[in-house]
Amino acid sequence: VTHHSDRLLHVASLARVEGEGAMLVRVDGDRVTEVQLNIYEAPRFFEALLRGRAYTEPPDITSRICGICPVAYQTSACRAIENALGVTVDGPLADLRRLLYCAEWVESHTMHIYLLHAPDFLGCPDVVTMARDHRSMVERGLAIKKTGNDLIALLAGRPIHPVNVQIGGFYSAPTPESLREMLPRLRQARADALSTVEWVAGFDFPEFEQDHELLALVEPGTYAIESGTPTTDRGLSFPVRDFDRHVIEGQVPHSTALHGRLAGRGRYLTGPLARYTLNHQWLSPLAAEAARNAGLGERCDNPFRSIVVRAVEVLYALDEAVRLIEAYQPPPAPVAPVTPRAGTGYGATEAPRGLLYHRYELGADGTVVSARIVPPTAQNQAAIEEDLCRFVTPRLDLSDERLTYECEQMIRGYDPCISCSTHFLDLRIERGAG
Amino acid sequence: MSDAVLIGVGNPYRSDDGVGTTVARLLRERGVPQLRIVESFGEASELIDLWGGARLAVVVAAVRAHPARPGRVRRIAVPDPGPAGARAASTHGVDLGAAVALARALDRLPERLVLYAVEVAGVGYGQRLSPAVAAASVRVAAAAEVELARPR
Repeated sequence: VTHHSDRLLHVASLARVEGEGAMLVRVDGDRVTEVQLNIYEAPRFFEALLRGRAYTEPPDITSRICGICPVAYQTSACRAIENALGVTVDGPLADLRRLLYCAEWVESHTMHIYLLHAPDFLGCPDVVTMARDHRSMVERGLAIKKTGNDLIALLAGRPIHPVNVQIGGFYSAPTPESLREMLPRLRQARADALSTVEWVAGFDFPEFEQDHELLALVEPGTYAIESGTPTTDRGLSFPVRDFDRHVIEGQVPHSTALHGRLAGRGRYLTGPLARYTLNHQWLSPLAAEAARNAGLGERCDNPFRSIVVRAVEVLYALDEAVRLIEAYQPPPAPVAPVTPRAGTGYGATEAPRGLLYHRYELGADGTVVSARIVPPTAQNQAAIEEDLCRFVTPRLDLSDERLTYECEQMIRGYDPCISCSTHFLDLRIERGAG
Repeated sequence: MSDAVLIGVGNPYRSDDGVGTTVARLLRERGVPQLRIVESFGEASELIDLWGGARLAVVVAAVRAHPARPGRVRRIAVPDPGPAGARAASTHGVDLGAAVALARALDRLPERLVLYAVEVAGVGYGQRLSPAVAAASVRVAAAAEVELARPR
Protein backbone atom coordinates (compact mmCIF):
# COMPACT_ATOMS: atom_id res chain seq x y z
CA VAL A 1 0.00 0.00 0.00
CA THR A 2 1.38 3.37 -0.93
CA HIS A 3 0.26 6.80 0.12
CA HIS A 4 1.76 9.45 -2.04
CA SER A 5 0.97 13.08 -1.50
CA ASP A 6 2.31 14.19 -4.85
CA ARG A 7 3.14 11.77 -7.59
CA LEU A 8 2.98 11.23 -11.30
CA LEU A 9 2.44 7.93 -13.08
CA HIS A 10 3.41 7.82 -16.70
CA VAL A 11 3.14 4.87 -19.08
CA ALA A 12 4.98 5.83 -22.25
CA SER A 13 2.87 3.59 -24.45
CA LEU A 14 -0.27 1.76 -23.49
CA ALA A 15 0.16 -1.54 -25.28
CA ARG A 16 -2.36 -3.70 -27.06
CA VAL A 17 -4.75 -1.03 -28.24
CA GLU A 18 -5.32 0.03 -31.79
CA GLY A 19 -4.01 3.53 -32.47
CA GLU A 20 -2.30 6.43 -30.74
CA GLY A 21 -3.54 8.21 -27.64
CA ALA A 22 -2.99 8.86 -23.97
CA MET A 23 -4.85 8.62 -20.68
CA LEU A 24 -4.46 11.17 -17.94
CA VAL A 25 -5.73 10.50 -14.41
CA ARG A 26 -5.31 13.39 -11.96
CA VAL A 27 -5.67 12.59 -8.27
CA ASP A 28 -5.90 15.17 -5.52
CA GLY A 29 -5.51 13.51 -2.15
CA ASP A 30 -8.14 10.77 -2.09
CA ARG A 31 -10.18 12.25 -4.88
CA VAL A 32 -9.95 11.69 -8.63
CA THR A 33 -10.35 15.19 -10.04
CA GLU A 34 -9.92 14.58 -13.73
CA VAL A 35 -9.78 11.73 -16.22
CA GLN A 36 -9.03 12.38 -19.86
CA LEU A 37 -8.79 9.95 -22.75
CA ASN A 38 -6.40 11.99 -24.90
CA ILE A 39 -6.62 11.08 -28.53
CA TYR A 40 -3.83 12.99 -30.20
CA GLU A 41 -3.76 11.07 -33.42
CA ALA A 42 -3.95 13.68 -36.13
CA PRO A 43 -7.43 14.39 -37.46
CA ARG A 44 -7.86 12.54 -40.73
CA PHE A 45 -10.51 14.66 -42.42
CA PHE A 46 -12.21 11.75 -44.17
CA GLU A 47 -15.55 13.54 -44.17
CA ALA A 48 -14.01 16.50 -45.97
CA LEU A 49 -12.11 14.50 -48.57
CA LEU A 50 -15.29 12.59 -49.48
CA ARG A 51 -16.92 15.81 -50.69
CA GLY A 52 -16.88 16.04 -54.46
CA ARG A 53 -16.25 12.31 -54.94
CA ALA A 54 -18.61 10.04 -56.86
CA TYR A 55 -21.29 8.13 -54.94
CA THR A 56 -19.49 4.93 -55.93
CA GLU A 57 -16.32 5.83 -53.98
CA PRO A 58 -17.12 6.07 -50.24
CA PRO A 59 -17.11 2.28 -49.59
CA ASP A 60 -13.50 1.96 -50.75
CA ILE A 61 -12.33 5.32 -49.37
CA THR A 62 -13.86 4.85 -45.92
CA SER A 63 -12.64 1.25 -45.68
CA ARG A 64 -9.19 2.85 -45.37
CA ILE A 65 -10.18 4.35 -42.03
CA CYS A 66 -9.43 1.01 -40.36
CA GLY A 67 -7.33 -2.05 -41.20
CA ILE A 68 -9.17 -4.16 -38.61
CA CYS A 69 -12.79 -3.38 -39.48
CA PRO A 70 -12.85 -2.16 -43.12
CA VAL A 71 -15.97 -4.24 -43.87
CA ALA A 72 -17.88 -2.24 -41.26
CA TYR A 73 -16.98 1.02 -43.02
CA GLN A 74 -17.81 -0.39 -46.43
CA THR A 75 -21.15 -1.73 -45.27
CA SER A 76 -22.27 1.42 -43.43
CA ALA A 77 -21.26 3.49 -46.49
CA CYS A 78 -23.18 1.18 -48.83
CA ARG A 79 -26.28 1.21 -46.70
CA ALA A 80 -26.30 5.00 -46.41
CA ILE A 81 -25.82 5.60 -50.14
CA GLU A 82 -28.30 2.88 -51.06
CA ASN A 83 -30.74 4.60 -48.73
CA ALA A 84 -30.20 7.88 -50.57
CA LEU A 85 -30.63 6.23 -53.98
CA GLY A 86 -33.60 4.05 -53.09
CA VAL A 87 -31.68 0.85 -53.74
CA THR A 88 -32.84 -2.33 -52.05
CA VAL A 89 -30.29 -5.08 -51.43
CA ASP A 90 -32.02 -8.28 -50.41
CA GLY A 91 -32.01 -12.04 -50.92
CA PRO A 92 -28.65 -13.68 -51.60
CA LEU A 93 -26.88 -10.31 -51.89
CA ALA A 94 -28.00 -9.32 -48.41
CA ASP A 95 -26.93 -12.76 -47.16
CA LEU A 96 -23.49 -12.33 -48.74
CA ARG A 97 -23.15 -8.94 -47.09
CA ARG A 98 -24.01 -10.45 -43.68
CA LEU A 99 -21.61 -13.35 -44.33
CA LEU A 100 -18.78 -10.93 -45.10
CA TYR A 101 -19.54 -8.99 -41.94
CA CYS A 102 -19.57 -12.21 -39.87
CA ALA A 103 -16.08 -12.97 -41.20
CA GLU A 104 -14.90 -9.55 -40.03
CA TRP A 105 -16.37 -10.09 -36.54
CA VAL A 106 -14.46 -13.39 -36.39
CA GLU A 107 -11.06 -11.93 -37.32
CA SER A 108 -11.42 -8.67 -35.37
CA HIS A 109 -12.84 -10.14 -32.16
CA THR A 110 -10.43 -13.10 -32.22
CA MET A 111 -7.46 -10.79 -32.55
CA HIS A 112 -8.68 -8.80 -29.58
CA ILE A 113 -9.51 -11.84 -27.45
CA TYR A 114 -6.29 -13.78 -28.02
CA LEU A 115 -3.62 -11.23 -28.94
CA LEU A 116 -4.66 -8.16 -26.98
CA HIS A 117 -6.97 -8.97 -24.06
CA ALA A 118 -6.39 -12.56 -22.83
CA PRO A 119 -2.80 -11.87 -21.68
CA ASP A 120 -4.26 -9.56 -19.02
CA PHE A 121 -6.16 -12.42 -17.41
CA LEU A 122 -3.28 -14.90 -17.56
CA GLY A 123 -0.72 -12.67 -15.88
CA CYS A 124 1.22 -12.30 -19.12
CA PRO A 125 2.66 -8.96 -20.25
CA ASP A 126 1.98 -9.80 -23.90
CA VAL A 127 0.92 -12.50 -26.32
CA VAL A 128 4.52 -13.66 -26.80
CA THR A 129 4.79 -14.63 -23.14
CA MET A 130 1.33 -16.11 -23.38
CA ALA A 131 2.47 -18.20 -26.38
CA ARG A 132 5.27 -19.72 -24.27
CA ASP A 133 2.98 -20.61 -21.38
CA HIS A 134 -0.27 -21.27 -23.24
CA ARG A 135 0.93 -22.27 -26.69
CA SER A 136 -2.08 -24.32 -27.77
CA MET A 137 -4.41 -21.46 -26.87
CA VAL A 138 -2.52 -18.98 -29.04
CA GLU A 139 -2.39 -21.46 -31.93
CA ARG A 140 -6.14 -21.94 -31.63
CA GLY A 141 -6.70 -18.18 -31.72
CA LEU A 142 -4.50 -17.69 -34.76
CA ALA A 143 -6.31 -20.51 -36.55
CA ILE A 144 -9.76 -19.00 -35.87
CA LYS A 145 -8.55 -15.57 -36.97
CA LYS A 146 -7.05 -16.96 -40.16
CA THR A 147 -10.36 -18.64 -41.01
CA GLY A 148 -12.08 -15.27 -40.67
CA ASN A 149 -9.42 -13.55 -42.79
CA ASP A 150 -9.61 -16.23 -45.47
CA LEU A 151 -13.40 -15.96 -45.67
CA ILE A 152 -13.09 -12.19 -46.16
CA ALA A 153 -10.49 -12.79 -48.89
CA LEU A 154 -12.75 -15.34 -50.60
CA LEU A 155 -15.75 -13.01 -50.59
CA ALA A 156 -14.04 -9.69 -51.12
CA GLY A 157 -10.65 -10.17 -52.74
CA ARG A 158 -8.28 -9.68 -49.81
CA PRO A 159 -8.49 -9.73 -46.00
CA ILE A 160 -7.53 -6.10 -45.36
CA HIS A 161 -9.25 -3.28 -47.21
CA PRO A 162 -11.34 -5.63 -49.38
CA VAL A 163 -11.96 -4.63 -52.99
CA ASN A 164 -15.10 -6.54 -54.08
CA VAL A 165 -17.78 -4.42 -52.40
CA GLN A 166 -19.80 -1.83 -54.29
CA ILE A 167 -23.01 0.12 -53.89
CA GLY A 168 -25.84 -2.37 -54.48
CA GLY A 169 -23.80 -5.47 -53.71
CA PHE A 170 -20.55 -6.88 -55.09
CA TYR A 171 -18.42 -6.80 -58.24
CA SER A 172 -18.60 -10.58 -58.39
CA ALA A 173 -20.53 -13.15 -56.39
CA PRO A 174 -18.87 -16.37 -55.21
CA THR A 175 -19.94 -19.75 -56.51
CA PRO A 176 -21.72 -22.05 -54.04
CA GLU A 177 -18.87 -24.55 -54.52
CA SER A 178 -16.18 -22.07 -53.53
CA LEU A 179 -18.09 -21.17 -50.36
CA ARG A 180 -18.87 -24.77 -49.45
CA GLU A 181 -15.19 -25.62 -49.67
CA MET A 182 -14.80 -23.36 -46.63
CA LEU A 183 -17.39 -25.30 -44.58
CA PRO A 184 -15.04 -27.85 -42.95
CA ARG A 185 -12.74 -25.04 -41.79
CA LEU A 186 -15.66 -22.94 -40.58
CA ARG A 187 -17.06 -25.89 -38.61
CA GLN A 188 -13.64 -26.47 -37.03
CA ALA A 189 -13.39 -22.76 -36.19
CA ARG A 190 -16.89 -22.93 -34.69
CA ALA A 191 -15.83 -25.82 -32.44
CA ASP A 192 -12.72 -23.82 -31.48
CA ALA A 193 -14.87 -20.76 -30.81
CA LEU A 194 -17.06 -22.80 -28.45
CA SER A 195 -13.90 -23.86 -26.60
CA THR A 196 -12.87 -20.19 -26.52
CA VAL A 197 -16.09 -19.22 -24.75
CA GLU A 198 -15.54 -21.94 -22.15
CA TRP A 199 -11.89 -20.84 -21.72
CA VAL A 200 -12.46 -17.12 -21.22
CA ALA A 201 -15.48 -17.73 -18.97
CA GLY A 202 -13.05 -19.18 -16.44
CA PHE A 203 -10.97 -16.00 -16.16
CA ASP A 204 -11.07 -13.88 -12.97
CA PHE A 205 -12.83 -10.59 -13.57
CA PRO A 206 -12.45 -7.50 -11.36
CA GLU A 207 -15.72 -6.40 -9.74
CA PHE A 208 -17.01 -3.41 -11.65
CA GLU A 209 -20.26 -2.49 -13.36
CA GLN A 210 -20.77 0.37 -15.77
CA ASP A 211 -24.03 2.33 -15.52
CA HIS A 212 -24.30 3.95 -18.93
CA GLU A 213 -27.23 3.91 -21.27
CA LEU A 214 -26.47 1.17 -23.80
CA LEU A 215 -27.02 1.82 -27.52
CA ALA A 216 -27.06 -0.86 -30.21
CA LEU A 217 -28.92 -1.71 -33.36
CA VAL A 218 -31.88 -4.02 -32.94
CA GLU A 219 -33.30 -6.14 -35.76
CA PRO A 220 -36.01 -8.30 -34.20
CA GLY A 221 -35.54 -11.96 -35.00
CA THR A 222 -31.82 -11.80 -35.62
CA TYR A 223 -28.69 -10.65 -33.78
CA ALA A 224 -28.15 -7.23 -35.35
CA ILE A 225 -25.01 -6.93 -37.45
CA GLU A 226 -25.42 -5.22 -40.81
CA SER A 227 -28.78 -3.52 -40.20
CA GLY A 228 -31.23 -2.55 -37.49
CA THR A 229 -32.84 0.26 -35.53
CA PRO A 230 -30.79 2.25 -32.99
CA THR A 231 -32.22 1.30 -29.60
CA THR A 232 -31.18 1.79 -25.98
CA ASP A 233 -31.75 -0.33 -22.90
CA ARG A 234 -33.63 2.61 -21.35
CA GLY A 235 -36.46 2.82 -23.85
CA LEU A 236 -35.10 5.10 -26.55
CA SER A 237 -35.49 3.94 -30.13
CA PHE A 238 -35.23 5.99 -33.30
CA PRO A 239 -34.86 5.39 -37.02
CA VAL A 240 -31.31 5.62 -38.41
CA ARG A 241 -32.29 8.78 -40.29
CA ASP A 242 -32.79 10.54 -36.94
CA PHE A 243 -29.30 9.67 -35.66
CA ASP A 244 -28.04 13.24 -36.19
CA ARG A 245 -30.85 14.55 -34.01
CA HIS A 246 -30.24 12.10 -31.18
CA VAL A 247 -26.45 11.87 -31.14
CA ILE A 248 -24.70 15.16 -30.53
CA GLU A 249 -20.97 15.32 -31.08
CA GLY A 250 -18.84 17.90 -29.30
CA GLN A 251 -15.20 18.85 -29.24
CA VAL A 252 -13.12 18.54 -26.10
CA PRO A 253 -9.70 20.18 -25.84
CA HIS A 254 -7.81 16.98 -25.03
CA SER A 255 -8.90 14.85 -28.00
CA THR A 256 -8.85 14.98 -31.78
CA ALA A 257 -11.90 12.70 -31.77
CA LEU A 258 -15.34 14.12 -31.12
CA HIS A 259 -17.23 13.02 -28.01
CA GLY A 260 -20.71 11.66 -28.70
CA ARG A 261 -23.65 12.16 -26.34
CA LEU A 262 -27.34 11.33 -26.58
CA ALA A 263 -29.31 14.56 -26.82
CA GLY A 264 -30.96 15.34 -23.48
CA ARG A 265 -29.61 12.13 -21.94
CA GLY A 266 -25.83 12.29 -21.84
CA ARG A 267 -23.04 9.76 -22.21
CA TYR A 268 -23.74 6.29 -23.50
CA LEU A 269 -21.98 3.10 -24.46
CA THR A 270 -22.01 1.15 -27.70
CA GLY A 271 -20.21 -2.12 -28.51
CA PRO A 272 -20.37 -5.76 -27.37
CA LEU A 273 -21.93 -5.08 -23.92
CA ALA A 274 -24.71 -3.01 -25.50
CA ARG A 275 -25.19 -5.39 -28.37
CA TYR A 276 -25.43 -8.44 -26.13
CA THR A 277 -27.82 -6.74 -23.72
CA LEU A 278 -30.17 -5.66 -26.49
CA ASN A 279 -29.84 -8.68 -28.80
CA HIS A 280 -29.00 -11.79 -26.74
CA GLN A 281 -32.47 -13.25 -27.24
CA TRP A 282 -31.71 -13.67 -30.94
CA LEU A 283 -28.46 -15.60 -30.58
CA SER A 284 -28.42 -18.98 -32.29
CA PRO A 285 -29.25 -21.91 -29.98
CA LEU A 286 -25.58 -22.93 -29.88
CA ALA A 287 -24.34 -19.42 -29.01
CA ALA A 288 -27.18 -18.85 -26.52
CA GLU A 289 -26.37 -22.08 -24.69
CA ALA A 290 -22.67 -21.20 -24.62
CA ALA A 291 -23.52 -17.74 -23.23
CA ARG A 292 -25.67 -19.28 -20.48
CA ASN A 293 -22.98 -21.81 -19.59
CA ALA A 294 -20.44 -18.96 -19.47
CA GLY A 295 -22.55 -17.21 -16.83
CA LEU A 296 -23.91 -14.43 -19.01
CA GLY A 297 -27.46 -13.45 -18.11
CA GLU A 298 -29.96 -11.00 -19.57
CA ARG A 299 -27.30 -8.29 -19.77
CA CYS A 300 -23.61 -7.77 -19.23
CA ASP A 301 -22.39 -4.59 -17.49
CA ASN A 302 -18.84 -5.53 -16.51
CA PRO A 303 -16.45 -4.19 -19.18
CA PHE A 304 -13.83 -6.75 -18.08
CA ARG A 305 -16.28 -9.50 -19.06
CA SER A 306 -16.56 -8.07 -22.56
CA ILE A 307 -14.03 -10.75 -23.56
CA VAL A 308 -16.74 -13.37 -22.84
CA VAL A 309 -19.28 -11.45 -24.92
CA ARG A 310 -16.80 -11.18 -27.80
CA ALA A 311 -16.16 -14.92 -27.61
CA VAL A 312 -19.92 -15.58 -27.77
CA GLU A 313 -20.18 -13.25 -30.75
CA VAL A 314 -17.36 -15.08 -32.55
CA LEU A 315 -19.21 -18.35 -31.96
CA TYR A 316 -22.42 -16.80 -33.23
CA ALA A 317 -20.72 -15.29 -36.30
CA LEU A 318 -19.24 -18.67 -37.25
CA ASP A 319 -22.55 -20.45 -36.64
CA GLU A 320 -24.25 -17.84 -38.79
CA ALA A 321 -21.58 -18.17 -41.50
CA VAL A 322 -22.15 -21.92 -41.70
CA ARG A 323 -25.92 -21.39 -41.89
CA LEU A 324 -25.63 -18.74 -44.62
CA ILE A 325 -23.26 -20.84 -46.74
CA GLU A 326 -25.36 -24.01 -46.42
CA ALA A 327 -28.40 -22.06 -47.66
CA TYR A 328 -26.57 -20.03 -50.32
CA GLN A 329 -27.98 -19.82 -53.80
CA PRO A 330 -26.08 -17.45 -56.08
CA PRO A 331 -27.86 -14.18 -56.91
CA PRO A 332 -29.05 -13.57 -60.49
CA ALA A 333 -26.65 -10.63 -60.65
CA PRO A 334 -23.83 -9.61 -58.24
CA VAL A 335 -25.24 -6.12 -57.86
CA ALA A 336 -28.70 -4.53 -57.66
CA PRO A 337 -29.50 -1.81 -60.22
CA VAL A 338 -28.26 1.62 -59.06
CA THR A 339 -29.16 5.00 -60.58
CA PRO A 340 -27.73 8.24 -59.17
CA ARG A 341 -30.08 10.94 -57.94
CA ALA A 342 -30.08 13.79 -55.47
CA GLY A 343 -30.87 12.88 -51.87
CA THR A 344 -29.62 12.21 -48.39
CA GLY A 345 -29.08 8.70 -47.06
CA TYR A 346 -28.40 7.19 -43.64
CA GLY A 347 -26.73 3.89 -42.75
CA ALA A 348 -25.77 2.18 -39.52
CA THR A 349 -24.20 -1.21 -38.86
CA GLU A 350 -22.63 -2.96 -35.87
CA ALA A 351 -18.86 -2.74 -36.30
CA PRO A 352 -16.99 -5.10 -33.95
CA ARG A 353 -16.48 -2.14 -31.55
CA GLY A 354 -20.04 -0.83 -31.83
CA LEU A 355 -22.53 1.16 -33.84
CA LEU A 356 -21.02 2.83 -36.92
CA TYR A 357 -23.10 5.55 -38.56
CA HIS A 358 -22.66 7.14 -41.99
CA ARG A 359 -24.69 9.87 -43.65
CA TYR A 360 -24.23 11.13 -47.22
CA GLU A 361 -25.87 13.99 -49.07
CA LEU A 362 -25.67 13.43 -52.82
CA GLY A 363 -26.13 15.81 -55.75
CA ALA A 364 -28.23 14.99 -58.82
CA ASP A 365 -25.32 13.23 -60.56
CA GLY A 366 -24.48 11.30 -57.40
CA THR A 367 -21.59 13.52 -56.32
CA VAL A 368 -21.07 13.55 -52.54
CA VAL A 369 -22.05 16.98 -51.24
CA SER A 370 -21.48 16.22 -47.57
CA ALA A 371 -20.63 13.24 -45.38
CA ARG A 372 -20.79 12.43 -41.68
CA ILE A 373 -19.12 9.41 -40.06
CA VAL A 374 -19.57 8.56 -36.38
CA PRO A 375 -17.29 5.67 -35.31
CA PRO A 376 -17.89 3.63 -32.13
CA THR A 377 -14.80 4.69 -30.16
CA ALA A 378 -15.71 8.38 -30.45
CA GLN A 379 -19.14 7.56 -29.06
CA ASN A 380 -17.60 5.63 -26.17
CA GLN A 381 -14.95 8.14 -25.07
CA ALA A 382 -17.04 9.92 -22.48
CA ALA A 383 -18.25 6.60 -21.03
CA ILE A 384 -14.69 5.23 -20.84
CA GLU A 385 -13.52 8.36 -18.99
CA GLU A 386 -16.42 8.11 -16.55
CA ASP A 387 -15.71 4.42 -15.93
CA LEU A 388 -12.02 5.13 -15.32
CA CYS A 389 -12.97 7.73 -12.73
CA ARG A 390 -15.37 5.38 -10.95
CA PHE A 391 -12.89 2.49 -11.18
CA VAL A 392 -9.91 4.42 -9.81
CA THR A 393 -11.64 6.16 -6.91
CA PRO A 394 -12.04 3.12 -4.60
CA ARG A 395 -8.60 1.79 -5.59
CA LEU A 396 -6.37 4.75 -4.71
CA ASP A 397 -4.60 2.68 -2.07
CA LEU A 398 -3.15 0.48 -4.80
CA SER A 399 0.44 1.08 -5.83
CA ASP A 400 0.97 3.33 -8.81
CA GLU A 401 2.18 0.34 -10.80
CA ARG A 402 -0.84 -1.83 -9.98
CA LEU A 403 -3.34 0.97 -10.48
CA THR A 404 -1.84 1.90 -13.83
CA TYR A 405 -1.96 -1.75 -14.92
CA GLU A 406 -5.60 -2.16 -13.95
CA CYS A 407 -6.52 1.07 -15.75
CA GLU A 408 -4.81 -0.16 -18.90
CA GLN A 409 -6.65 -3.46 -18.58
CA MET A 410 -9.95 -1.66 -18.30
CA ILE A 411 -9.23 0.48 -21.36
CA ARG A 412 -8.36 -2.64 -23.35
CA GLY A 413 -11.72 -4.11 -22.32
CA TYR A 414 -13.37 -1.46 -24.46
CA ASP A 415 -11.12 -2.40 -27.41
CA PRO A 416 -10.82 1.26 -28.36
CA CYS A 417 -9.96 1.77 -32.00
CA ILE A 418 -8.25 5.11 -31.84
CA SER A 419 -7.28 4.92 -35.51
CA CYS A 420 -10.94 4.76 -36.35
CA SER A 421 -11.96 7.59 -34.07
CA THR A 422 -9.55 10.03 -35.60
CA HIS A 423 -3.66 6.78 -33.21
CA PHE A 424 0.10 5.12 -29.43
CA LEU A 425 -1.65 5.50 -26.15
CA ASP A 426 0.15 6.92 -23.12
CA LEU A 427 -1.29 6.57 -19.62
CA ARG A 428 -0.45 9.12 -16.96
CA ILE A 429 -1.74 9.36 -13.40
CA GLU A 430 -0.99 12.60 -11.60
CA ARG A 431 -1.44 12.75 -7.83
CA GLY A 432 -1.61 16.18 -6.26
CA ALA A 433 -1.11 17.10 -2.61
CA GLY A 434 -4.82 17.08 -1.82
CA MET B 1 5.46 -23.25 -49.85
CA SER B 2 7.90 -21.16 -51.80
CA ASP B 3 11.60 -21.29 -51.08
CA ALA B 4 12.12 -17.61 -50.43
CA VAL B 5 9.83 -14.71 -49.68
CA LEU B 6 10.36 -10.95 -49.61
CA ILE B 7 7.88 -9.22 -47.30
CA GLY B 8 7.60 -5.47 -47.61
CA VAL B 9 5.98 -4.21 -44.42
CA GLY B 10 4.39 -0.83 -44.02
CA ASN B 11 1.74 1.62 -45.00
CA PRO B 12 2.39 3.35 -48.33
CA TYR B 13 0.10 6.20 -47.29
CA ARG B 14 2.26 7.12 -44.25
CA SER B 15 5.29 8.54 -46.13
CA ASP B 16 8.50 6.78 -44.97
CA ASP B 17 6.50 3.90 -43.46
CA GLY B 18 6.07 2.89 -47.12
CA VAL B 19 9.76 1.97 -47.54
CA GLY B 20 8.97 -1.76 -47.18
CA THR B 21 6.30 -1.74 -49.85
CA THR B 22 8.54 0.40 -52.08
CA VAL B 23 11.30 -2.24 -51.89
CA ALA B 24 8.73 -4.92 -52.74
CA ARG B 25 7.68 -2.93 -55.78
CA LEU B 26 11.30 -2.38 -56.90
CA LEU B 27 12.04 -6.10 -56.72
CA ARG B 28 8.82 -6.92 -58.53
CA GLU B 29 9.85 -4.57 -61.33
CA ARG B 30 13.25 -6.28 -61.57
CA GLY B 31 11.49 -9.61 -62.02
CA VAL B 32 13.52 -11.67 -59.56
CA PRO B 33 12.79 -15.33 -60.44
CA GLN B 34 11.73 -17.95 -57.88
CA LEU B 35 10.85 -15.26 -55.39
CA ARG B 36 7.52 -14.66 -53.74
CA ILE B 37 7.06 -10.94 -53.12
CA VAL B 38 4.30 -9.80 -50.79
CA GLU B 39 3.27 -6.62 -49.05
CA SER B 40 1.87 -6.49 -45.54
CA PHE B 41 0.65 -3.95 -43.04
CA GLY B 42 2.70 -5.93 -40.52
CA GLU B 43 -0.12 -7.62 -38.63
CA ALA B 44 1.55 -10.37 -36.59
CA SER B 45 -0.53 -13.39 -37.55
CA GLU B 46 -0.35 -12.44 -41.20
CA LEU B 47 3.46 -12.19 -41.07
CA ILE B 48 3.67 -15.60 -39.39
CA ASP B 49 1.54 -17.09 -42.16
CA LEU B 50 3.57 -15.36 -44.87
CA TRP B 51 7.00 -16.56 -43.69
CA GLY B 52 6.01 -19.89 -42.10
CA GLY B 53 7.71 -22.81 -43.87
CA ALA B 54 9.93 -20.65 -46.06
CA ARG B 55 13.67 -21.40 -46.34
CA LEU B 56 14.46 -17.70 -46.30
CA ALA B 57 12.33 -14.69 -45.51
CA VAL B 58 13.59 -11.16 -46.00
CA VAL B 59 11.48 -8.53 -44.27
CA VAL B 60 11.86 -4.85 -45.00
CA ALA B 61 10.29 -2.40 -42.56
CA ALA B 62 10.55 1.15 -41.31
CA VAL B 63 11.89 1.91 -37.84
CA ARG B 64 11.99 5.05 -35.79
CA ALA B 65 15.27 5.67 -34.04
CA HIS B 66 16.24 8.19 -31.39
CA PRO B 67 18.32 10.02 -32.37
CA ALA B 68 17.29 9.38 -35.97
CA ARG B 69 19.57 9.15 -38.98
CA PRO B 70 17.01 8.84 -41.80
CA GLY B 71 18.03 6.33 -44.45
CA ARG B 72 20.41 4.35 -42.22
CA VAL B 73 19.79 0.64 -42.75
CA ARG B 74 20.23 -2.05 -40.13
CA ARG B 75 20.43 -5.67 -41.26
CA ILE B 76 19.27 -7.93 -38.47
CA ALA B 77 19.52 -11.71 -38.90
CA VAL B 78 17.15 -13.56 -36.60
CA PRO B 79 17.73 -15.18 -34.07
CA ASP B 80 19.64 -12.03 -33.23
CA PRO B 81 16.77 -10.09 -31.66
CA GLY B 82 18.36 -6.73 -32.38
CA PRO B 83 18.81 -3.88 -29.97
CA ALA B 84 16.74 -4.10 -26.82
CA GLY B 85 13.49 -2.24 -27.22
CA ALA B 86 13.72 -2.01 -31.00
CA ARG B 87 10.24 -1.72 -32.45
CA ALA B 88 9.01 -1.30 -35.97
CA ALA B 89 6.98 1.82 -36.70
CA SER B 90 3.70 -0.04 -36.39
CA THR B 91 0.46 1.65 -35.51
CA HIS B 92 -1.02 -1.69 -34.48
CA GLY B 93 -1.14 -3.36 -31.11
CA VAL B 94 1.30 -6.15 -32.00
CA ASP B 95 4.42 -5.04 -33.85
CA LEU B 96 7.04 -6.73 -36.01
CA GLY B 97 9.32 -7.54 -33.09
CA ALA B 98 6.45 -9.24 -31.32
CA ALA B 99 5.60 -11.14 -34.51
CA VAL B 100 9.13 -12.58 -34.57
CA ALA B 101 8.99 -13.45 -30.89
CA LEU B 102 5.54 -14.97 -31.27
CA ALA B 103 6.63 -17.03 -34.29
CA ARG B 104 9.65 -18.27 -32.32
CA ALA B 105 7.46 -19.30 -29.40
CA LEU B 106 5.22 -21.17 -31.82
CA ASP B 107 8.09 -22.72 -33.88
CA ARG B 108 6.86 -20.92 -36.95
CA LEU B 109 9.96 -18.95 -37.96
CA PRO B 110 11.41 -19.60 -41.43
CA GLU B 111 14.75 -21.39 -41.62
CA ARG B 112 16.40 -17.99 -41.99
CA LEU B 113 14.82 -14.61 -41.33
CA VAL B 114 16.58 -11.40 -42.24
CA LEU B 115 15.17 -8.00 -41.36
CA TYR B 116 16.20 -4.84 -43.11
CA ALA B 117 15.17 -1.98 -40.86
CA VAL B 118 15.28 1.45 -42.42
CA GLU B 119 15.39 4.50 -40.17
CA VAL B 120 12.73 6.98 -41.18
CA ALA B 121 12.54 10.76 -41.26
CA GLY B 122 8.81 10.79 -40.65
CA VAL B 123 5.62 8.73 -40.88
CA GLY B 124 3.10 11.49 -41.49
CA TYR B 125 0.42 11.34 -44.14
CA GLY B 126 1.53 11.19 -47.76
CA GLN B 127 2.75 8.76 -50.38
CA ARG B 128 6.28 10.15 -50.92
CA LEU B 129 9.37 8.79 -49.26
CA SER B 130 11.83 11.36 -47.95
CA PRO B 131 14.96 11.63 -50.18
CA ALA B 132 17.18 9.77 -47.70
CA VAL B 133 14.70 6.90 -47.32
CA ALA B 134 13.99 6.74 -51.06
CA ALA B 135 17.74 6.33 -51.65
CA ALA B 136 17.86 3.67 -48.93
CA SER B 137 15.03 1.74 -50.59
CA VAL B 138 17.17 1.31 -53.74
CA ARG B 139 20.14 0.10 -51.66
CA VAL B 140 17.96 -2.32 -49.70
CA ALA B 141 16.37 -3.71 -52.87
CA ALA B 142 19.84 -4.42 -54.28
CA ALA B 143 21.05 -5.98 -51.03
CA ALA B 144 17.89 -8.08 -50.68
CA GLU B 145 18.25 -9.34 -54.24
CA VAL B 146 21.79 -10.55 -53.48
CA GLU B 147 20.62 -12.04 -50.18
CA LEU B 148 17.78 -13.90 -51.82
CA ALA B 149 20.03 -15.24 -54.61
CA ARG B 150 22.50 -16.84 -52.18
CA PRO B 151 22.73 -20.62 -52.32
CA ARG B 152 21.21 -22.31 -49.32
